[in-house]
Amino acid sequence: MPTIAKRLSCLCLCLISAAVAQAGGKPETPATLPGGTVISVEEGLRLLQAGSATFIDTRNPLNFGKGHVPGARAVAYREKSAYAVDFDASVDHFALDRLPGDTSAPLVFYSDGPTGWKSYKAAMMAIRHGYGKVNYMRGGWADWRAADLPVER
Amino acid sequence: MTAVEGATLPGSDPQQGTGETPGTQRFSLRTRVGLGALMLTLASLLLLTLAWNGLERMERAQARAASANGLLVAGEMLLRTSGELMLSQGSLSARTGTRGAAADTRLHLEALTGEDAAMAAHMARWEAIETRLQALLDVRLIDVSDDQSLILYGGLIQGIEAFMPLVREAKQRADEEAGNALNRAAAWLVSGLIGLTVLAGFAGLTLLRMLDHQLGGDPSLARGVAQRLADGHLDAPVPVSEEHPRSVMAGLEHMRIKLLERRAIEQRVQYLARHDVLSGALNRRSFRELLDLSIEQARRAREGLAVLYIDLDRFKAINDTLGHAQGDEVIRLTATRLRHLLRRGDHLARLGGDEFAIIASQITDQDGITHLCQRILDSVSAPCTVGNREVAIGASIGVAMLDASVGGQDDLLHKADLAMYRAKENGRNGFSIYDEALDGQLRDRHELLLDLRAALGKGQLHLHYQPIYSSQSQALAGYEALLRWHHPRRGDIPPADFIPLAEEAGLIEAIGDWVLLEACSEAVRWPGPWTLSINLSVVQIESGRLPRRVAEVLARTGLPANRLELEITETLLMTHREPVDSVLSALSDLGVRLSMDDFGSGYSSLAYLWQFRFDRLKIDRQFIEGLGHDPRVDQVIGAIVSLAHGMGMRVTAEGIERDDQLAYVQASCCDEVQGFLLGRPAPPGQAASDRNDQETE
Repeated sequence: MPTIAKRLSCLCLCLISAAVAQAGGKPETPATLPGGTVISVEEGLRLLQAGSATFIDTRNPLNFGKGHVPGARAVAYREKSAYAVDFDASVDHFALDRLPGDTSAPLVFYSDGPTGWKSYKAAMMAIRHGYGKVNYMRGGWADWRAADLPVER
Repeated sequence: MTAVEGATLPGSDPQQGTGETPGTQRFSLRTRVGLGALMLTLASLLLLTLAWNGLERMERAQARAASANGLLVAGEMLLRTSGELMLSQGSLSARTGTRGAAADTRLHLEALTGEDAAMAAHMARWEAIETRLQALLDVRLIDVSDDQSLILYGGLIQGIEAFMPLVREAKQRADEEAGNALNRAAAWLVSGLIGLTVLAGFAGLTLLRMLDHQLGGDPSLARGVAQRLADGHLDAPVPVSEEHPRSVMAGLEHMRIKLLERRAIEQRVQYLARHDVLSGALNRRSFRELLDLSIEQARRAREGLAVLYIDLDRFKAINDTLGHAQGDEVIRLTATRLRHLLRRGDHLARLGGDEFAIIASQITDQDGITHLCQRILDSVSAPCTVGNREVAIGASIGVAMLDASVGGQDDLLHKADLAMYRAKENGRNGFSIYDEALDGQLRDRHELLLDLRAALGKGQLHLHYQPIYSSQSQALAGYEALLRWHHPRRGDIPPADFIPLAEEAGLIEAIGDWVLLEACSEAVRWPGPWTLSINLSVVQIESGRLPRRVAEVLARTGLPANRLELEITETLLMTHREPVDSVLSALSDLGVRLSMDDFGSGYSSLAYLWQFRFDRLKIDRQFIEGLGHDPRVDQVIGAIVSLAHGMGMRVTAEGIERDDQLAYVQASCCDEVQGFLLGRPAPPGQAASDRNDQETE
């Protein structure tokens, strides 16, 4: 049980740290994305309703499990790099192979919200990988929920 | 409130009191108390049921609250165990714990759901959570680093976290409900208790009012009255309150009246037991009681005391001729008359049919008693009118006075009885006071009676025969049998002395039978067909047995009927009509001759002479005695003889003692003569020798 207790406390720490980061001094992502488009949740909704874009949820799968944009793919971005535009992608892990194979397919990345660096970094990685229609829904899950938009659970 | 109001406004106000309204008056106190108790019980049962119901609701609400609480605990447990499941990489214990928590949750949820629509919706949500849990559990390798596990875990967590507020809300609601139910149950209980208390108080007050009503407002008063009634003080009425007309006091008053009535009846019964109803005088029993008492008092006070026996004369005749109703009226009248003569301390009693008695106290001397007796005779014999007819009543009084010689009550009464007997003997409407001489006389009589009883058996009775001769030829015509009693000590006793005694003692029939048989047997032995004359007594004729008896004797002795001549006194015909008629007819039919004895001594109706075909008249000896002294007597005898001859009868003159008498009756054409001059009564043997003497002369 000590291990379970340790892991549990670790998990809790994880969740708490995320909350603290959201509330505290975690920096916001840039409002622009070179090679991609920053969109609002309303625009994301239009894309969703059009059915043309693939939504990529980069948050922890646990949060994905709790609720996500309908039809979104859970492709967690395992983040260890700093919250900065010039992040070191080599320390992070993002399974690009789980994105649609067609690089021209429109993608919408989102994570927790304006401080959600995971989706920013994932969008950056996708752009670098050659995807042409990368959208970064910067408002993320927080705005989506705040706007009371459809949710899949 | 009064009974009047209750009566005038029947049932106008249901609150009106406990017993005065006509509606409730139909029920007894017992019924009312019973009904009250029944209603109290029903009300209590109702309150108990309501309280029980409240308690049951409370219990149910508490069970729901407990389930809701269990649900909350189970949900939180599920959260924790599912976390453990993740962290322990799907360890068995975590899986078991998770499943257990889920099962618990479902269990509590089901318990809560029941009739609750909201909880039914929760159930649907829970089933979605269960599906997710199952999906998580289906993952073979649960791990925090595994996306799939995390996604499923996240879904589960989300579901549970979304569910928990609902659970909390349900718990809160259940708690609230339980609290409310508890409050309600408590309210029911408290109100029930209050209600019961009020009812009990009301019942108690009502009961008190009823008791007060029953006791007329004062228990000690009722007790006192009951005690007074029990002690027999029935005169004062019981105070019945107008406000409580149906109280115990009213019952006591009713009882008092009943007791009074009963006392009156008892007094009446006692009076009847002590008095003669017809006359209102004391009866025989109370007379004797009172006499005992009076004798005792008189002796103690050394005062005189007298007992008077009063017997009405000819009362039987009055009863027979006027009827019993009139006879009763005579008794009543006499009693009233006697009562007026009494002084204070004297007592009047009626001892039997026409027999009264008076106890006269404080009698000093015989003069006083004589005076009293005279007044009684005057008063009783005063003429009176009964049933429109004037009736003359007479009385005979026998008096006995208390003196040292009197032994006791019985002795005193016996002496009064003896005195009365003498009064009657001395002639009616007179009185007699007992004295020693009377006692001796009567004692003598008593002894004689005893001797007479024995005389027949001892052969002391004899028959003498007096010859009867033909008036003209001086030839023997017959004999008259005459009874003689030779008493061993007193010598010969004349029939006039002992025949009434025999009649009184009931010996006369036996003696008469003996005479008949003896005389007939003798007559048969006579050498000539001479007539045998026998005297009959009243009693013999009244009994009605005589004709058969005569027939028997004639048959037995062989004496021809026409030789037997039965003599009946004239007075007999006057007083005893009915039986005499039939007996005389029967005797005539036998062929026996009938002779009327002592003719002229009474008031014979000539019709009788004709009706019964008397064969002979015997002229009363007083006429014969008067012959030669009184010229009218001569004429009367002549008239009797010619009358008798005219009716076909023969005439005998008896009591001939002198020659001039004989000469006269011979001149008057009497058929037969009898008397000492011609022949004295003699025993059979001497009679025969006399006969022979005469024949030889």
